[in-house]
Amino acid sequence: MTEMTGAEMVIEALADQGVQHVFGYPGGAVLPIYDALFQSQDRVRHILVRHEQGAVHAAEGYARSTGKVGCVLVTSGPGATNAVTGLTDALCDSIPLVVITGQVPTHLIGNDAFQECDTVGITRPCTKYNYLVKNIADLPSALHEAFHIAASGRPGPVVVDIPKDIQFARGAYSKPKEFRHQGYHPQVTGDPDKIKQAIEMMAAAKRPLFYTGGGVVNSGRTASILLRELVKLTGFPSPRP
Amino acid sequence: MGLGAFPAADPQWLGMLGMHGTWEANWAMHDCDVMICIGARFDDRITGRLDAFSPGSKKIHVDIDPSSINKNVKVDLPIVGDCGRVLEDMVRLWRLNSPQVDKKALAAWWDQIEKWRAKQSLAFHSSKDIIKPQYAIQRLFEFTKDRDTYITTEVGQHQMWAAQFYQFQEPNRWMTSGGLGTMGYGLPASVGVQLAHPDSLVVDIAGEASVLMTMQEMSTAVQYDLPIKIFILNNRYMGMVRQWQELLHGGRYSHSYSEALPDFVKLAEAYRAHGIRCENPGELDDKIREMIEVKKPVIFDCVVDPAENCFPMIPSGRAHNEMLLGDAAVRVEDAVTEAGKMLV
Repeated sequence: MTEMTGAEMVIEALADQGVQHVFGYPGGAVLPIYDALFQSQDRVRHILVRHEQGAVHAAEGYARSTGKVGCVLVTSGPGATNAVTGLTDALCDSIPLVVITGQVPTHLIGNDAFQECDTVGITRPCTKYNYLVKNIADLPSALHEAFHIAASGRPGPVVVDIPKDIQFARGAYSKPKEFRHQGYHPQVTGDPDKIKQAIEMMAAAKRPLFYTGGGVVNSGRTASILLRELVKLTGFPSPRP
Repeated sequence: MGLGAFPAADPQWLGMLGMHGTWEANWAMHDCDVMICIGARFDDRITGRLDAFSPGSKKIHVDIDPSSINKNVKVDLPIVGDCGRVLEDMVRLWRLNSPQVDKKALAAWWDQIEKWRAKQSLAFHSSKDIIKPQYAIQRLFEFTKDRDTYITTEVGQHQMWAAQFYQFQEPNRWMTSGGLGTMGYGLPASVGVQLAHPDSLVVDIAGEASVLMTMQEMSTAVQYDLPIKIFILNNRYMGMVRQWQELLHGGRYSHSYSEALPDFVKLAEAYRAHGIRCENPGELDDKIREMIEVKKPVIFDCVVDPAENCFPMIPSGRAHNEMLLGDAAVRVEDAVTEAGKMLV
């Protein structure tokens, strides 16, 4: 348990999650985080894009070619709205991303403040999950949960919206030992009876066909190796979307 | 989305499925009796007309997302779980049981598939005078297949030609905006891929209209020494829009032609990148070699046949067995029904 600012927690959490690169664009509502980045240069490398949409697509390319979570840092208002196309894209194609957005200070939220937008409202339908962190005590768990949610189950983009006063606030940081979420338990193992039934259906087939998609790629390299093995074993044909 | 999970060079591979999929893949989908869907979501680009989608098959659907199951297509056996874990169980069980398959029926099925395959649905007329976009991708594949190559794309005809003609052998090598169809995806995506794989060859197969939407990221590539290759199939049209206008709107090409395009070579130079233009099929090989060898970001302006269309095609509102081929026997204007016009 170490005391630090919210902005420092963001960098700590990214480093603890093994993030090596973050794509982003600075602005007023994320300056404390950019300052923390500046002061810890070797921990996470920031790649300055030219438009926030580019940051999200770059993070998507990064995630899809490595299997890791892609990471983005943008400011409030236009920074967040420019990221929306990329978020929607990542949601459609099941790409794991954590997108950190700056927000106006909590006391200005709802005031039509400069570069204010309702980021969690706007991104609710185009993210797998999103957070507006209004209390410094919630920040460490929100950041780590975001990575867990982005990468597990059907992968997708997660937004963490952090008001500027929370970035300045001080609090205790530690990496949560385990993730406990009441309502989120993706089912990883298939029902053995149904898998048995599937094998029976496949064995009895006269004109069988594998139709396989991005889920096999998302599941990791082993899944592709297993698919190749199953197709060879069965001798069935395999087209793909 | 799943290209590369199964190697494209394998004889058991039937090619891409769906709206611009191969004749054999779509006919096999239509006529199969057991479909094993793993990590795919029966989206409209794949299914075509839903009430005519694979009418005689029992369907097994493996997906980690329960909300994707029975959403578009009713399946007979849903299995919620991670593709890798379920595949592991399937392989183990199949080995354990070593089931007696109907060898005669399977041989007849493969015979039928080979007949469909003989149709050569991706065939196109080659030319000595003008670069055919399909040919450009075939040549790009030849020069990059033995390298450690990653491909991103923008959205449109070039994207479909890339999916049809670039033969992916490994997963995680094909980065494309599959669901949302975001023009402008490929250039910034290639920046991210190159950063993660600094020593690999990263090529964005692009269209000239798409790539202008996020062109400013060239500046990012130059700043971080990311030698991405932007391979533009330049036909001066928003090609897929033009193709649909040809199909559905009497060839009235409303706002799908770019009257004023930048000089892409000069644009590359303005970013302090390297620019190449190629208009002649005879020069294509040498210029692709140059693109690969230059240790800088490259914009390659490949001027292609502006009239080329992307086939095969299942017109909107049609079923898998109503596919159009390049030398279409069906007149294209008659192919789309009034109801089909309403679809995208």
